[in-house]
Amino acid sequence: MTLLNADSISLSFGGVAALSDVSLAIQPGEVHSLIGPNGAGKTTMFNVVTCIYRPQCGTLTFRGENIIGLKPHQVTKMGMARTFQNIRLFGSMTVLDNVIVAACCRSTTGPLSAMLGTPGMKREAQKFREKALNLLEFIGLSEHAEDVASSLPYGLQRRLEIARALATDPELILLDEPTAGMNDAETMQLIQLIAEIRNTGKAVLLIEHDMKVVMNVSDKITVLDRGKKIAEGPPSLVAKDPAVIKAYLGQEL
Amino acid sequence: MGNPGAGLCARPPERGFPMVFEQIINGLILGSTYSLIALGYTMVYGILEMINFAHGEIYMFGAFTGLWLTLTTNLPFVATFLLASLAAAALGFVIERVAYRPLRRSSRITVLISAIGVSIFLQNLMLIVAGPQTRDFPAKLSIVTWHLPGGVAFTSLQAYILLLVVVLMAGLQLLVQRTKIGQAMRAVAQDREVARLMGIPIDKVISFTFVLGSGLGAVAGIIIGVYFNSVDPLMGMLPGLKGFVAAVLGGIGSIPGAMLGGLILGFAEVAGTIYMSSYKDAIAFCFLVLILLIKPSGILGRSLQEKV
Amino acid sequence: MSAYQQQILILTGINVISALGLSLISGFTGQLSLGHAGFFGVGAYISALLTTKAQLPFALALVVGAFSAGLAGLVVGFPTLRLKGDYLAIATLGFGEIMRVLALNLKITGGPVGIRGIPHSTWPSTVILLAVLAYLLLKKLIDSHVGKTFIAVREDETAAEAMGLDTARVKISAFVIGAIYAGVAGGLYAHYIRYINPSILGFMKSIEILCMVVLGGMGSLPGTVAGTVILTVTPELLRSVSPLISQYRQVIYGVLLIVLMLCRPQGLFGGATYKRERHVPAWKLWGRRESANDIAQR
Ligand SMILES: Nc1ncnc2c1ncn2[C@@H]1O[C@H](COP(=O)(O)OP(=O)(O)O)[C@@H](O)[C@H]1O
Ligand SMILES: [Mg+2]
Repeated sequence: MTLLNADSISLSFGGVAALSDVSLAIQPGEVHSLIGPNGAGKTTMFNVVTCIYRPQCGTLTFRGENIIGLKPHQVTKMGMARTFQNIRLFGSMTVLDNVIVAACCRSTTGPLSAMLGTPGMKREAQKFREKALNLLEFIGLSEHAEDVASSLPYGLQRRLEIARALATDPELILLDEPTAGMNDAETMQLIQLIAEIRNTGKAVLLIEHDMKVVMNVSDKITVLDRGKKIAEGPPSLVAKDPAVIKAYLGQEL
Repeated sequence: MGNPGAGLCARPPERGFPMVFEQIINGLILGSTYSLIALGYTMVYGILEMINFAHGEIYMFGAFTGLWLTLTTNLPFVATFLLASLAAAALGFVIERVAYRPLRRSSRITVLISAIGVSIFLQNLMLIVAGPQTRDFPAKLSIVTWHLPGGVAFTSLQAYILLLVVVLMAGLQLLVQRTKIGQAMRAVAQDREVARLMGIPIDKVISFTFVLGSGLGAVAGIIIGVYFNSVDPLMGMLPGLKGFVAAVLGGIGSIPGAMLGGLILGFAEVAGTIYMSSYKDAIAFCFLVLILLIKPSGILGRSLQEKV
Repeated sequence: MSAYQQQILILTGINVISALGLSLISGFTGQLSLGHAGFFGVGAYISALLTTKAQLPFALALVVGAFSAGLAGLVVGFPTLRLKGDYLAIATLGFGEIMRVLALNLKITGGPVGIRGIPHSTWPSTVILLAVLAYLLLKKLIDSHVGKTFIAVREDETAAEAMGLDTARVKISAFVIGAIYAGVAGGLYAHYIRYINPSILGFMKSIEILCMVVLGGMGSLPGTVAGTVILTVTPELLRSVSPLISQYRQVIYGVLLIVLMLCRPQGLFGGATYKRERHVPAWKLWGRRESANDIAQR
């Protein structure tokens, strides 16, 4: 069954068509890349898929259910998590707390139990803490657990964004330019991380400019240009597509 | 609290058509002052995305300066009007420089708290300087009353006010649509970053916006002061808030919206004065809640999607 | 302890409870509320009506008053869900004003005169006990993982929502709990002063409490307490020095807010701030041109 199915999505901002008639289907467990020049509408597509923006036309289903009109947090609870291109961490909180907060996605206790310190609340707190520590271990941020998130170097902040998204137990994780601003070594680590995430059975939708990364990790690639889908297919075919080469004119694929 | 509608309740309403006519004029005048105030909010909001909370105090300052000039000098009223507006414009300029500009890289809440600080400071300073009592505004104007057929009365003061407001609004529209600085203002409102890249001096444009908005606010203050013959240090508070409501109602960032929102609010309040006068001040806030629930972008505003 | 000292103690305790409530709403959850006096007033009026008109025992009246305030918090919370930042602030201000106009015009609230002859039931021990309890409960909440979701909403609402947090619910919870705190404070106040009128609902009252929270530091519990103690006790002390000072009190509040935002927006205790980056003292920015970097930071 298709995990995420976006069909004929259109969205314009005051006359500027950010997306026109874009369709996208993600299968469980696959790594799917979304590429295209700046301003092509990739981030906008993420925002539509995660219900932050509401498309003007088109249908959108996740795990077979319509999600248009849901709130972003409801979609996240259904198993879709994302990172942000312009890093949006909870800056003044510690690295560990950033991940714990995301784990609260599955929380069942309310503020009253927290004020009274009920045993159920304490159990949950312990559970989330362990989960967060494990994730930091997985992502390689254990030694920074108590650092303030905004004090981390750029590359680590991007990794923390991924850890935070993973803490919501997603089946599909959306990464928006995860290697932007990273050096070569960090980028290599990230390619490995994406492979590891995929090995846990999660699907990945990736926006990425670095073709080395895209060609390396993707099962399938969708190319957007000026809000339109211009190509789709396995990496080897997309790389040879004349329309894609034209859109990326002068750039090396 | 300051209450421009107070005089409306005091007047024993005549019955029938003359009363309706008088209420329409009152609604027009009250509404157009709200529009003038709303313009200040809407222009600043359009450009800086901040609520200039001290705008009501600029309105109050304009009225007081006008009163002070009237009492201490022999200047003709027109000169008083101009000087007071200029003084308020200068105040707006200084406030932006001192309390807002250094915070331009801060979050909106930080700026808003600073603006609230300015508002409280000015209000209470005026309380100390001028005392809490309400004062008359003996404008040096010869006012004639025209008696129209059907028992309808119309004063030259009302005519001056409406004429002035029409001229100001038309002038503003021309300024914004036709002049270079107006073009720059619109560019900055649309996208600060792009405007800067195009070589527009952002800081100058922002200062100019404050000067313009403050001048208009002061005009509203003097009009209300003279029309209701009443000036007091707290007079800016409620009209300030209501001007903001009018701006939101019309669509914040939209200049025609501010004019429309002000008029709607003015008429609603005058109608409210007739039917439930003691709750009149709550009308604006009910409007605010309603418009925010139904169409947060306001009547003429464009709905903007926060960029994520 | 002299009667005067006792009075300062009680008023400080009452303000602490109210300020802790606002601290949760504005300091920890980041929802600037300019209508806190409205919640305080609901608690004061409802509890006073219950003890004077219905002869209810004080404790019960206090609880009912607090929950009525909580209900008001819910009512304010819902429509304001769609509002952010400054819009929310103005809407809460509108709520406070509507409450004031209601109290001024309703028969049952006694119009401009208010309610007189409220029984004296608030004693220092009551206030101290409740203030300590209020502090401890809030601290428990803030230190828990649930409390962190409140802070996350302040830090970045969009991100919090995307991480699966029901931010609407978090914000409403903050408003309800904060309003209950204010309601308790209002009930205690009414039964200490024994006389209330619509002036306790005024905008300036909301600002006074906000000043306490901001001075201490948004998002710091000890800061909230410190800010409250300073701003409650100092004017009293100064008043005994010179009557002129109390006249300047509100001017000072205004300057305090500006200077704090310019120079130390994190307040005395340096809790987290609304700022998104390391703070540069304002005087360094005076007269300086805005750089492209500033815009990118926003
Ligand atoms: N909230 C918004 N308001 C107005 N325009 C937007 C908004 N979000 C995106 N856009 C516009 O949509 C287009 C696509 O942007 P985006 O999706 O960010 O591109 P990409 O991520 O592919 O670089 C751009 O022209 C951008 O300015
Ligand atoms: Mg993008």
